[in-house]
Amino acid sequence: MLWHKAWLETRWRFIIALLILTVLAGGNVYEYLATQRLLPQAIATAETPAAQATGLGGAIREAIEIQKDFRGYIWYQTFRQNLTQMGVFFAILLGCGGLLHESSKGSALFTLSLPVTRKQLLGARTGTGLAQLFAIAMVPPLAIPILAPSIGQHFTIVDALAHGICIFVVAAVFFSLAAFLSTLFTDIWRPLLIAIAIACGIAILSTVIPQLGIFSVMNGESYFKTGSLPWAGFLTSAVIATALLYSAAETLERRDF
Amino acid sequence: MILLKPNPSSGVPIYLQLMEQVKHAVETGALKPGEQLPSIRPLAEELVINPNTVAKAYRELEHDGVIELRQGAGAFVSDKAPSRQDAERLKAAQALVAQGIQRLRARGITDEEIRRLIEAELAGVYRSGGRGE
Amino acid sequence: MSNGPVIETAGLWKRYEDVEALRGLDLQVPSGSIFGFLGKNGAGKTTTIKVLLGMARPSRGEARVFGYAPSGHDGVEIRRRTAFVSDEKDLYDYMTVAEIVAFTRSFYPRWRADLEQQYLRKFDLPPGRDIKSLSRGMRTKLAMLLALCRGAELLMLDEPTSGLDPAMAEEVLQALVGHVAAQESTVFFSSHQLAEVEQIADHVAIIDRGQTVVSGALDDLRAKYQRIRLVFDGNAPEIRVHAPGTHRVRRQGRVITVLSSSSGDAVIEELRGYRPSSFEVSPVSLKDIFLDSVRAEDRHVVAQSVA
Repeated sequence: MLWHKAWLETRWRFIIALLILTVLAGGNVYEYLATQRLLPQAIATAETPAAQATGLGGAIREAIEIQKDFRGYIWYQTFRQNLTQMGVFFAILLGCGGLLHESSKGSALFTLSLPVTRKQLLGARTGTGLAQLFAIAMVPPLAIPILAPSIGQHFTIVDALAHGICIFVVAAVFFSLAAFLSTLFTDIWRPLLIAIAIACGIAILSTVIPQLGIFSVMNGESYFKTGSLPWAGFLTSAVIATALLYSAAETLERRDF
Repeated sequence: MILLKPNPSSGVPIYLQLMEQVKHAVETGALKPGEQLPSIRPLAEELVINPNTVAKAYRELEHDGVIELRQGAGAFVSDKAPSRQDAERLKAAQALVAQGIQRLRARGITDEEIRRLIEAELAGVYRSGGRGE
Repeated sequence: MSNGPVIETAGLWKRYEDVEALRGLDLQVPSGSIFGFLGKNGAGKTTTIKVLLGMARPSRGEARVFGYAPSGHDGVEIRRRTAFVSDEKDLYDYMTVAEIVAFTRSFYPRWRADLEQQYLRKFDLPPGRDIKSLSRGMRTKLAMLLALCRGAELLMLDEPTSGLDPAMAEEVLQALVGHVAAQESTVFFSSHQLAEVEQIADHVAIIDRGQTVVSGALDDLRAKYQRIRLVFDGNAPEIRVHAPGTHRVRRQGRVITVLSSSSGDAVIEELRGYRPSSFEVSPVSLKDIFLDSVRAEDRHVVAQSVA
């Protein structure tokens, strides 16, 4: 029943994450028409001398180009922005907590007195968390093909699932990061804030170091542009996530309570 | 038959206190020969003491011949325990003491003085004229 | 039940960062005993229990429960046969009483459903109640229920009656005693309440600053210690005791009190030689043994924390 316990400990976080992400995705669908109406204005802004001078014009024009059709718009707003940013945040949130945090609340000794190994405890928490992560990665994208017809647009389920997988694989890395940090600190704030800081750091650095482009794996850029999934990115993510979880297990094993 | 809760902090081992209680009960006739004593587990639970302590008390009482431990049946007051005659003797003695105290009180002697008189008498102060040991 | 000690430590050391919680602890808990583990706060009682259950790793020395070392899969085996109740009695406050019972039950194949019903009734625990709304007393009873129903051979309780009013404390002790009598298990409980240890324990160990200072069967200890009181007509003389054993001599005006740990008459004979006008030998309570064995300079602290 360790999985059930982990579920009880994280269910509200999970439900809130699922709701927010689904609403964001669905909301994007309905904002499409309004956004399309603003396009001429955007084009005009891009062609002003000031925008041309700063290079901002080029950036705006590129954004407009991509978002000309519904599929591009969805990729730009939903996958590149909302689901990636909020997805990372919720992945971190789901990964926080666990046995050390329990020790600050007092019940860790009860849990540790059970006839299970620490690896089993971590395993149950990780398993539950990853299952929840899978749900919050796959379900919100599916809102798009379901809701698109209501505004006269079309989005394939295959596309939604493909993007969902991209979100899941990279989100798992941040989940594992939060889980690992949670074996170092007893409070829930430090793992949360440190993981978020690391995510922001990666986002900033990846503009200068393209090899750190983990977020472009997450938003499925290569799939959007070329139709092929970022397998190399998946492999790297899987390796990193596994290493982090392994470290979490080893750290937990050595910990004195 | 209700046993009183032993005092764990008195310095007297609990098993001894239990033994004393049983012996006293047998002497005054509250426990009669052949009567069954409570079994170890419920007694330990009621008095909130260690079952081994009860067991030890019962073993020592058996050793002293006060009770018998019958395999599978329980603990019983032994027939060779101080008999009813002894109990009745003590009851009669109690009646004499009560009478004497009544009379002294009637003469206006206070309880404190009565107590001192009795202790002194037992110590043989007035008789031998010297200090009792 | 096995013949060897259920719990055994030898030269057990535990260092936490800069604090030495255990400094060479030696302990032997006989199978089937009710073992009281006494010490003031901070003496190392909780740390000992944590090491025995695999919650903390020893720095040096050995610890064994049922003959196993408490790490890895052996540790799991130990915990399968042991029931633990922590000092704080914290449980999962997002569960209800029924939920945590079902949760705990799932880990112990020897769970006693009959005892579960019995204790739910006896302790008056409403199954649908949220744990976070339970008072400390109710939480303690729930923790006790979860421990007593596991079909465990060994109960390890850290300060089982702490924070409880006397009536509830007695209920908890009663449940313990009843359980031990019926189930043939060993009880190892730590406490700084001497009265309750004296009431139900048959063996004790006193721990001070991470070391065992006294241990053995309670009756043997009480027989070993005696208090001798000498009253003199004039001022009491200076005396030195040569008989073997430890002796704490206190002189106050005309009275000398000796707390002696050597059983036997050597001490009595020697002290009679001083020809007091009054000579009294009386038994010693666990409280006196405790105060005597814990370091003198801390005695004023001990006197406050001891019940």
